[in-house]
Amino acid sequence: MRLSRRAFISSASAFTILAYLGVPNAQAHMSIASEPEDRKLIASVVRAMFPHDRFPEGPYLRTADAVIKKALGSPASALELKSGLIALKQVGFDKMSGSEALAHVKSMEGSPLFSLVHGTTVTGLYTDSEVHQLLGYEGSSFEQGGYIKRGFDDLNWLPEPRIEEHPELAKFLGAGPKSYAVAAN
Amino acid sequence: MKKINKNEEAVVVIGSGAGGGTMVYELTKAGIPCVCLEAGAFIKPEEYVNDEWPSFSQMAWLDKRTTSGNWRVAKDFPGLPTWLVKAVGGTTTHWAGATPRFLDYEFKTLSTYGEIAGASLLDWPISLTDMESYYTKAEDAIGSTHRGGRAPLPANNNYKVFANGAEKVGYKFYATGPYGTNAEAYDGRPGSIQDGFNFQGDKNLSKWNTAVREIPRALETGLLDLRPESHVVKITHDPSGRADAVLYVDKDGNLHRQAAKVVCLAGNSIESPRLLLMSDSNRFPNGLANGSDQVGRNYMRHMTGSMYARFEKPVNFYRGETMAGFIADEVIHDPNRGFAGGYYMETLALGPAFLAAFLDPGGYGPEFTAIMDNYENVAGMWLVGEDMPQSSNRITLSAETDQWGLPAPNVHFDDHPNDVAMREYAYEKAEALYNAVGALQTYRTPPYPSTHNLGTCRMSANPEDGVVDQWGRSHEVRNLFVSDGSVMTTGAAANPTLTIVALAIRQAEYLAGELKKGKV
Ligand SMILES: Cc1cc2nc3c(=O)[nH]c(=O)nc-3n(C[C@H](O)[C@H](O)[C@H](O)COP(=O)(O)OP(=O)(O)OC[C@H]3O[C@@H](n4cnc5c(N)ncnc54)[C@H](O)[C@@H]3O)c2cc1C
Repeated sequence: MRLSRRAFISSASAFTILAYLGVPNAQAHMSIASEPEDRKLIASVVRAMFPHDRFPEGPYLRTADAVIKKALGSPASALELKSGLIALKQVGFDKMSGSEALAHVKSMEGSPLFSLVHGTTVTGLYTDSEVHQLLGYEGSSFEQGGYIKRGFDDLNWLPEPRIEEHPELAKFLGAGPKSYAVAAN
Repeated sequence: MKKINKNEEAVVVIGSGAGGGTMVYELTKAGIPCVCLEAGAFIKPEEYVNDEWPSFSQMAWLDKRTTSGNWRVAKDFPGLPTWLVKAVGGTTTHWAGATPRFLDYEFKTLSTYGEIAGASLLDWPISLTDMESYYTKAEDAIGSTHRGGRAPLPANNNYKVFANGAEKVGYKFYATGPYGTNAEAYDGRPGSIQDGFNFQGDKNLSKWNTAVREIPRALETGLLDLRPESHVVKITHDPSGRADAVLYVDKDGNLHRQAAKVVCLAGNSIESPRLLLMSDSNRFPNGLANGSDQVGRNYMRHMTGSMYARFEKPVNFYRGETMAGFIADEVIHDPNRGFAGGYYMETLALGPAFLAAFLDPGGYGPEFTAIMDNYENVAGMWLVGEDMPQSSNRITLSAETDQWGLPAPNVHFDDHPNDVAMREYAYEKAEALYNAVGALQTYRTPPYPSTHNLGTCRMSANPEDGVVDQWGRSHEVRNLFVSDGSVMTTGAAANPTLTIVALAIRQAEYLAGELKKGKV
């Protein structure tokens, strides 16, 4: 759960890993998502899952980087990402319309690539500071004196409600149950 | 700070959260020296961060845990069944502040609701009358708004939507509290600046937690030996079956022994039973204090769910106190609704990071992003009600191990049909409320990792039915006390912390008396 955006962005540029390919002591370099198209392809999967028309490519690409970074955590997950990308290329995912892409993503549910992308996006895309700005979330506030003078109560499309408890609350809570036992279920 | 010799038989408190923090303050105030062993570090308010995941990784309890059962948390968060904190102050660092009292009949649910199939309901050995003066003391300690002459918090944006919806559907009992955050300066701490980060520890100190009140004050008495980063792994006993020491691991993995004349266990409802189960011996083969086989059973986590709604106009619900909004109209037991017990509705706001993680785990697609995309126009509430204790909902020792190589706790939970019926009903009512003020879309959010963890060392009149007596004193090991949320016989609809604190104040008073009489 430890998320440092800067950390995963910077190390995501190291797109190569040492992968054990089943042969004891035999190491091989495996190149994962080393081409820019791969990064774009992953970003388009993220966009198909979590479509926000008004989001530019940046946050989606950064999420793709996080996906790659996570996949590089083990040879097995790197392999899963690589095979997932090959399959997406084979079906022409990059040419699909929004609804086709969503339908295809649905058909991928349960696959390792789906879990990898979904899990990373939930914690990656929505922690991105550009996304926070786009969504209108102002975030950290203590150093600015909180929101007490910055709109915590600026909603004006509804009447001002009561904040005190209703005078009959104590009586209501003390009155006891409406009736005794429930029918045994 | 006081140094207590490890060979001196001390009063040892395990954990420094709502229960443990209150215990050490009340005991040292009464002149009784204590050792407090806390697994987490002493993180000071200036180190708290206004950012959801970084704060979570700073303080949440992330040691190995496993899950089972049909609850959705086991599927969505299999390694993270609970949201608890490992730090001085325990989970009160991350708590919000809702402080309702239990209702009279919520201490006697078996005789009020009757037998319910599959539920292990039991009446508490104490009543609201026994608790009343302690509730007042706990409210004064926490500084609950709307109580003791303390001012209510103002309405924030999320509350405005919530309270107007309440009024429209005919609810009467809404207010911005009772809530454990100062509206005005109180008890040496300032009024709220509405910074919106209750769940991340309040840097402004307006929110009560034991790391900003009880622990510093206990240290000031000069009688507290506080040892952070000290993870207790076993309670040992002498040949007569009395607890005589605790063994703990420091941050470097070294094992220490602290001799004890009294042990107060307050590790919360997962770790307390786990520690008792790990403290088995020839004499206590089922785990310490577990002759009744009730340790770890009857685990409760409250019926919960959340409702988010999207509106045409801005709400900006993240600004201001996270949970300062209450509706009590649904709390009264009314079997005509198709379930036993009741529930509260409480305002809830999350930042985009947590909202995305909790809105609908596993969810995606346009309905999901419609909520996220209109984040500024979203309002939210939490539904929290009484869940049925079940004997088979329990904490056991898993085959998997934690960072010390010790058995991790497994948290098993099956929803009871009563919990499911209540949740369904509560969702409908919450939707009606938001629709009454013009919601364009509502979203039913399932329970997230348990923040309320109760019942696993329950209090009972009869030793066969539970683990501790009406004082929280083990039926079986008479110098062992349980001082946290695990003593709850049943959970009521109320958020639990006020009751945990009130019970700890009561227990400390009793224990101080027994110590003075030489009866422990
Ligand atoms: C986000 C959030 C919001 C909440 N909001 C509310 C609310 O509005 N109202 C309310 O009533 N409640 C709320 N709660 C719940 C509240 O925080 C808990 O009910 C309360 O803190 C539980 O008290 P406790 O003493 O049982 O355990 P805790 O407060 O969890 O304290 C247990 C302590 O023991 C330590 N410990 C555990 N095992 C060991 C060991 N083996 N050795 C040494 N130390 C150990 C832990 O590190 C911890 O510090 C909220 C919780 C969360 C997470």
